[in-house]
Amino acid sequence: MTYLSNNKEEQVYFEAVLRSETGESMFALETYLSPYNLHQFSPPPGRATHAAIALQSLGFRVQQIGTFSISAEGPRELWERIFGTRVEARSQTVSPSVGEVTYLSHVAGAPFTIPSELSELIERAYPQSPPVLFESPLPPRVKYHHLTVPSDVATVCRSTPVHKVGITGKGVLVAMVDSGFYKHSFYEWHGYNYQATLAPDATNIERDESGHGTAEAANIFANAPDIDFIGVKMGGNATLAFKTASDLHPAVISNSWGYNICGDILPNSLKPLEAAIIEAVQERGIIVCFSAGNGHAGFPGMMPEVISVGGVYAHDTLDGDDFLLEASNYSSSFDSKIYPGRHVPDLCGLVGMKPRAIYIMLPVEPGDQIDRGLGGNGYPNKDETGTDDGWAVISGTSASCPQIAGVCALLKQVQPGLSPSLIKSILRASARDVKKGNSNQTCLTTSEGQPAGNGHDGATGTGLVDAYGAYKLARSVTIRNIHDLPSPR
Amino acid sequence: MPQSLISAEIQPLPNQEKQAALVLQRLGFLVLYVGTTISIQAPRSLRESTFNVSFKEEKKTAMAEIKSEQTYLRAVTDKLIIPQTLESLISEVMFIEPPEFF
Repeated sequence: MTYLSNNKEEQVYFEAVLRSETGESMFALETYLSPYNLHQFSPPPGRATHAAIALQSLGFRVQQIGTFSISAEGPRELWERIFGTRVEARSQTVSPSVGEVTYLSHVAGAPFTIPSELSELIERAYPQSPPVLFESPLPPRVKYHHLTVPSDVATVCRSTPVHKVGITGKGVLVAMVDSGFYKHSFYEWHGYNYQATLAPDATNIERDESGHGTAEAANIFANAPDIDFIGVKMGGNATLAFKTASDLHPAVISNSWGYNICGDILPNSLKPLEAAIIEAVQERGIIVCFSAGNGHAGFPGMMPEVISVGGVYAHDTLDGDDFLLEASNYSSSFDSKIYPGRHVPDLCGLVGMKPRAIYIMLPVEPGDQIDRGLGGNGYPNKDETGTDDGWAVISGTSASCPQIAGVCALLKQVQPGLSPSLIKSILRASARDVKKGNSNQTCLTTSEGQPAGNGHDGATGTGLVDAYGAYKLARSVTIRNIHDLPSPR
Repeated sequence: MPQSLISAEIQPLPNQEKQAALVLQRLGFLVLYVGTTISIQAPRSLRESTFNVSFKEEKKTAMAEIKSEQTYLRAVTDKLIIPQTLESLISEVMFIEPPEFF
């Protein structure tokens, strides 16, 4: 929100109500607004534009021209001088996590005069106070095909039948390295153990300025509702955030981020991250999942040690005994030039289609970058939710990666001794074949991306995760002692 | 991260992690993590004077879905020098760029 992010304590945010064409006022005594009388208060054509121009010429910044009012802002001194009035600073708690913010409000009893330049155009103007944010634990309704968390994602990933047999991720610690972890009421209402910590160079633990981590974490809980979750908020150094997560020795680390690396040599600046990941997987036995990318040649998603997660789109129609499945044209697939023989992805979770992969309804911090950036009408470029309602419909391999991390947690509950490479093998062996569609193009593919097809393929690896199929394999695997022959991988 | 602070990863020579961290601290760097590599943070001016590097402001995508960009300082390391006090302790200095959220 502007009040918070820009810290403009000396700005007055106001709504200027336009004079109606009929001369009637919505502020008149005993006037109640309803759909039936609203048109009586509409201004004549052109009045709103004239008023906006007049406000701008006085020095105010017009933010939006509406049907009945204009949203604008201006410095305190300008407001007080133009309207011959006074404002005072007040504080208000916006939400438990955001805390208190300061804003400027009209001083009760102070005079207020609309100047002659505006008096024919504007009836009244009111400074606006910040709202109290009540994000709902329930998502808004949108009309296009999309998935909800936890139920739809769990259903399509086939983790619901695993939950029914009592495997829910209980006792498994999962870490996630991301932009931040806002305490959205969605997590509390679902009874999830959702906690956050800071990387040593990060700040503001209660905030998620972009909303990315807050959203994507819900994908893990969809598949593994009873995990112990710790989100590590990233600062300027992603490697440091990863090392911070690794030091907690979780069973699984989920990472929905990376770098687009097109060359055949890894830049030296990424070697420390590469080393930290190898250490986590090979020496600490941590399962590390990374997103393949959305048209990126994603690193570390291309490292052989990680589970590299791509994307499959599940239509809302059935095809035999499964949903109609298609490779997401938003998700990456490619063959690494750095690691010979390494194909990305290993397997897939659920991802939407171009242009913006608007697919899974996820919780975000109200009014954050994602909420504002995707909110509004105009699907498939906008998600048809509000811009400050705390919900956004997004996906990308940022969503599919934590879905797979959640399934890994289920398998770790079934058999805590499963190694990262064995879990990868189980997930790949049990995935559902996806035969249609093409992946997104990357700098390592042609413009068509790579096609899906019968069996293992370029676009989807071994296909879409099948949590129940993976569970049935994992429960029967015999863990060998490290000194036995043949040795476990 | 405040704009004025720049992150880097330092590759210590074998068994020199703690000594390298100590010297880096004495030089004024904030040591955030000591492991296989050492994570440090410092103001731009200290970086420039210690390692003979410069920085230029660049932009890159932070999240494509919402067309958000992030500004960061990219290190120009052509003339990078490891100072004498660290020569026997570290082998490489690597400046970290922000990742992209997928």
